Amino acid sequence: AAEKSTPAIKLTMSTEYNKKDMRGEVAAYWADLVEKKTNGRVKVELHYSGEIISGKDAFKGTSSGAIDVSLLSTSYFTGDVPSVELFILPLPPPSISLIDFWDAWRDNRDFFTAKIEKKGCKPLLAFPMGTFNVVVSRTPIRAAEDFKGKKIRVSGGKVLPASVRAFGAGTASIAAAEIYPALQNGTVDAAITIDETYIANSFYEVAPYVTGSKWYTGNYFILMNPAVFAKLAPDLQKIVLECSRETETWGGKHAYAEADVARNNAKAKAKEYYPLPDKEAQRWSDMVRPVWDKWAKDQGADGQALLEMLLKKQKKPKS
Amino acid sequence: MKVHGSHEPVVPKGPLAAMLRKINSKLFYVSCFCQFALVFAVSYEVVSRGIFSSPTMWSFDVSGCLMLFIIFLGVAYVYQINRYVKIDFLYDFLRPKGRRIIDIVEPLLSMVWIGILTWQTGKFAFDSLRDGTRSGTEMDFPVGYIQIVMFIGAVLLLLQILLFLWANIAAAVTGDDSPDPAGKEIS
Amino acid sequence: MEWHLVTIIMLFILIGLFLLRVPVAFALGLAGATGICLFLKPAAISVVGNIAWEVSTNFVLLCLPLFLLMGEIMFRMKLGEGLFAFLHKLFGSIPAGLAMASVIASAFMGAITGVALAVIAIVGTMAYPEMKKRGYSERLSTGMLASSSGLGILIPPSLPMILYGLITGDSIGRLFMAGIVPGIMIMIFYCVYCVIASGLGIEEAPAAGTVSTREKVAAFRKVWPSILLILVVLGGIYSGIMTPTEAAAVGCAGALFIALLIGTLTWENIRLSFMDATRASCAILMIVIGARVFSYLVSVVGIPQHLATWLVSLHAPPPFVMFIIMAILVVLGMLMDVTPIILITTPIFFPLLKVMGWDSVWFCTVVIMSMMMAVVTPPVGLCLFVTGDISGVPLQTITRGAMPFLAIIVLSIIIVYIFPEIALWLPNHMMGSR
Ligand code: NA
Ligand code: NA
Repeated sequence: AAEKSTPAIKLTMSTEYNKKDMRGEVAAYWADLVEKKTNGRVKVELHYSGEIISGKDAFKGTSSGAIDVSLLSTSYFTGDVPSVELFILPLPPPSISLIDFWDAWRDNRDFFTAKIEKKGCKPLLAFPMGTFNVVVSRTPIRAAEDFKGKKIRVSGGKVLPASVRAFGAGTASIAAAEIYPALQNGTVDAAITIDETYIANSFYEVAPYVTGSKWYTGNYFILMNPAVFAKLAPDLQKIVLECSRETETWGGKHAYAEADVARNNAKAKAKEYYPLPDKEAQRWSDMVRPVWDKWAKDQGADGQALLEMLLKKQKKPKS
Repeated sequence: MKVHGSHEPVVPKGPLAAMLRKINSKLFYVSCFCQFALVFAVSYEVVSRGIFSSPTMWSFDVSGCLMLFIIFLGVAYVYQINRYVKIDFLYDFLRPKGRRIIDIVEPLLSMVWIGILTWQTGKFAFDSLRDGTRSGTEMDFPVGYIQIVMFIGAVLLLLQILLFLWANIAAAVTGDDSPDPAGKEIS
Repeated sequence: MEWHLVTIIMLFILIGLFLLRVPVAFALGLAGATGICLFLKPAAISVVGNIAWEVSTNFVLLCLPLFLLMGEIMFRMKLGEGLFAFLHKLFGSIPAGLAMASVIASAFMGAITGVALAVIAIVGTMAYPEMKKRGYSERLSTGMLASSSGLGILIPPSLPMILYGLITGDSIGRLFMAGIVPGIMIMIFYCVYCVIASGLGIEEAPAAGTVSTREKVAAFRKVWPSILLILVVLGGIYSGIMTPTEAAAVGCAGALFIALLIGTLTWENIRLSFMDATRASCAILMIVIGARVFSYLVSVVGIPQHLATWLVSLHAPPPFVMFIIMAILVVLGMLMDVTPIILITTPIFFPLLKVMGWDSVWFCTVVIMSMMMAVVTPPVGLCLFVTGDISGVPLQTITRGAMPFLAIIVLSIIIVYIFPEIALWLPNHMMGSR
């Protein structure tokens, strides 16, 4: 290859999602955009599928410099930056929509950026999953009472398991790769997941029932090592930030589009895709309200202000 | 235990070596106990979830911590009893003099890696303590206090290798390789 | 630097450290760290802390100390002894009876767990002392045990198959089913080889001699402790009460309880089994940490991507492409553990399938079969290291012992390449062809 006069700056980027996954595509979009807009002065080497660092370790890996950039799920760094758990609070009231979760970030960027930077990572962008998590199960779940005594697989976190417990169900800690056999054998009765994963992991083979709940929305960040960012020339820094904004907008839109496709696929593959009626959804939301309040209390002084970021939307008249 | 070569492996002597040996053996017992606790923790989860339909909050977190203790409280002891898998292909071909050299080079190189491991696990743990990083799981415990165990284990391993290095150098200089009876594996 | 130069340098460093008798666990870590300093930026060394923490709290790896302990308890408290004694007598005048029993036991363990390490952890600790006691050659018994552990990833459940399915979007159920027939086929081939090798006097694997039916029945009476334990573990998993990791823990508790019933539960036995299992867990998990650091380097440098890109640029006919793919997988299998290989190569090879007109489920079976070699091949072969650890047999002896079994895998891959139905018949029959 022909060498440029100034050697390109190489950035190692990691995500635990694969190339075909919506989140993997957002990572690739950012990487390509940065390379294009900097005319190749910055090269991004994107590694998929957590092949160099697991999602769980990506926050620390980015802050320590093991990797330069990462696209990761917000749920992986709530232990480092507790306030970001706001974006993944479970079972919001029906009046709160997906976009409200995204706006909670977009309207309060500086607040969260300061919190995340304090723990050693520079947030470049954040976007929501474009859909809420659903319940996929071996037997139908249509009402809150159907959860009693069931074993539900949820991904980690503090608030998410608590929300499942609020229904009198138990959570099971099962590695992601073991979900399929666990559903197959009945080690768990249900799992909280998204339509896309339901299709990609063939869960429909072992969990034919889907309940269209608003359990929580996935949320994702692209983070950069602050020292690596600081070392970029000022014009490159500016380009990287611009690319990030552009990717954020694209990522959000792309997420919605992909979610629609995935939902239709899931509807086709599931034996029953049960949309949760608004009245029942309100009941579910009321049941986890104590979990929200407890979470806000744990945030100390910021607690109420954080909840307001999300709930103030509810009070505004719909435009 | 399979011993390769014409001379018995040299064992560090002196009060410091004896003390370290004692600490490592004691910690290894703790590591064994953690193995037992792991069986209990995971089985308890099965019974609690399977029979009483009420999964525990703590089993997942506790099992992870226990595995970390099993590894890092035992690493120094495993070196002490010379039980890390090694490849003796070249060593078996060498004359005693060549072996003497390898006996010194091996701990030197091992120390480089364990030095890096000590430095990095220490940095990892102290960063977590400084930032107040929590596990973000239901128990939401401060992870730094668990991570520090990796650092402690690595430090003990580093010291243990250093003593072996010293003993091997001494043996090469004096040509004395009578094994210390206190250095035998506890059994 | 050119990637092939990096590959060669890293191989040299690693082999050099091995020859200097640096423990495998430390050599992998040191080689990885050296490579990070040479080819990446120094800040990347901080990945070591991440990896140590990730490995030591990894939920999937948790089954390893538990299966090791279960194997130790079964060995020390003589729970497996009855079963092995019975099989030894049952096969009577057929040589290599215990070796066949071990291969079959590995296949059963493979039906319990999705990782090869768990298979060798339990079958190895239990079967090796029994074979040693009966005069089996070190080379055959360790080579066979190390190779048979690969059945753990071919016979479902299989962690690497799940990872493959995640990337390609294939039905996991279909991938699982495709592994069953080839798994049984390889199991039979292994058994046949053991009999032939000992029959021809290539390997020492003595037969029990003629045994009367009465003796066989008498021996069968002592089988129940192992059968009971297998029922607890297999039953627990397939009834859905527990995950494989949990079954391992319950298996340990159950083994202790059965030992109490048959009177072998002494303090001395408890102490020895816990000490041996803990020691092995430490040593093996330190190897996993080192291997992960090394494979971080291999991934970031992009060695697998470069190999695959080069392959695509060849525009060669399918059999030749398949040959090259297998060669690449063998080379990577020498350098890395199965999980990162699958994660990295699957998305790269996947687009090739359409071009070549290959079935994705069938391709997965073939890839996993080649991964059965990766777990054994030096310099980085995790099951090889574990076999060395629990038997104390030099790694070069085990490697030599494994050679015929590796040849069997190559043969099996060729058979499945020529007759794809071996893999595809069962899934197509059970789930309808696509
Ligand atoms: Na398996
Ligand atoms: Na290998």
